[in-house]
Amino acid sequence: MASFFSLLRWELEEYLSFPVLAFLIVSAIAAVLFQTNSGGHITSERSYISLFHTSGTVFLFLTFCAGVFFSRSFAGAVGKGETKLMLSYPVKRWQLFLSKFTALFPIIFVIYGAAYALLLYFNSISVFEPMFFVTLLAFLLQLMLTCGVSVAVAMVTKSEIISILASLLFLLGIDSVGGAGTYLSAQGRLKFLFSYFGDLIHPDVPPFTEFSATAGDAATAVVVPVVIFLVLFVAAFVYFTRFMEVD
Amino acid sequence: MARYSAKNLTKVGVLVLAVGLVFLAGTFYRTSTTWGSGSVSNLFGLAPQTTHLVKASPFGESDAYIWPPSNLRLDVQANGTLDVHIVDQNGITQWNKNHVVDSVWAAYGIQQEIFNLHLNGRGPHTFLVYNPSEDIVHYEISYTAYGLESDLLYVSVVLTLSGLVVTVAGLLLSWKNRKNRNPPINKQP
Repeated sequence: MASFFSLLRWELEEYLSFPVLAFLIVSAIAAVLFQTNSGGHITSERSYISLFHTSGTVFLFLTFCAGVFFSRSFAGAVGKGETKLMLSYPVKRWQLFLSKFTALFPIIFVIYGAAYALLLYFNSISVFEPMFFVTLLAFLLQLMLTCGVSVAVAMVTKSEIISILASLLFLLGIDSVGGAGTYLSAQGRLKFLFSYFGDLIHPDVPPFTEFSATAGDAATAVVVPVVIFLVLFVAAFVYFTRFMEVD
Repeated sequence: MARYSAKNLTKVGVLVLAVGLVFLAGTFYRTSTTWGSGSVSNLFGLAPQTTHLVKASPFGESDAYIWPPSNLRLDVQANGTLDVHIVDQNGITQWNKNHVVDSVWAAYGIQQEIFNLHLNGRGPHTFLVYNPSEDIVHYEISYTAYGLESDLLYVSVVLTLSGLVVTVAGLLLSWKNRKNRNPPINKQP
């Protein structure tokens, strides 16, 4: 177990050290600040709906940053020979794989979640607004999907650049093509979740007048990315620990 | 030890400076969009000697506009004299509970006028309109919230300057440490 924590610390020092961490924090704040309000009214009763309308930039930046960070950590380490070097020490492959995930995933989520909380102040939304946590759930799902896709592509390609390009083109392509109408796109999932929980929590001020999601829609919006993440992540884990030749 | 603390100080300084600069850029970027513009009017007119708390939408009992601490342009058009107040969340609560006017801005006895004012606080605001005359008054108030958000500007300037000071202090410390480690060699004549 001690070697796992040593790997975790090494991972944090190597991939989340000073300039990279600063970039992550700055990108998260920029994603929240650089929003266009398009002159719309934000009123006290409907201010929670701004959480939905301002999530697009955050999803874009989050997908981009997470895709780059996971690809850099998994494929970059193989490409630069770091993985080979690490495995020459008495560490297990599963420890190396999980230390990368454990180091990056929570930190990216916490930084983006904390930066998104700025919006609560900007739009005078309560800290205890349940729809804020629904939006955070949508960010978590998008991060899981990005992590699963990036890690799987990284294991197959073993090239940092190709992994970044392939995973980002895939994820941003789905978002672009699917729009807000599919469970696979970030905005689509949030729309289903926001509509269902919004109708439930704010029945007097529904988030969408022309659209209403059911409990099944909301459940599917959660289950689809979780299943994709689990399948890809477990496949990448099994491949890395059992079959992958590190040369 | 001192070398590491100077290095860490520089890193913290650069981080704070970067956050300050992104806040500054975001503050200026956000001026490119207005925070809401529109108009409110009273279709049936405001009865004599009565006060009306304007609702921002049909939702809720006291729905108000969320405005940042920025500039507000008001264009008041009425067929009689009016007292126009802008109330914040505290003012809305005061009016709803005790019918006490606690406004952050007010103009008295106006009929057709344009005002440019600056709001000091962020949050819910709305109009409280009083008809002091003996006749029914029809009115329309057009508003546009625009300009730099002063709280964001203040935070970004403070962060940028603090980051700059800490970075320079860190660089000076590391320069001093380097100088102490490598003292100048006294050349023999």
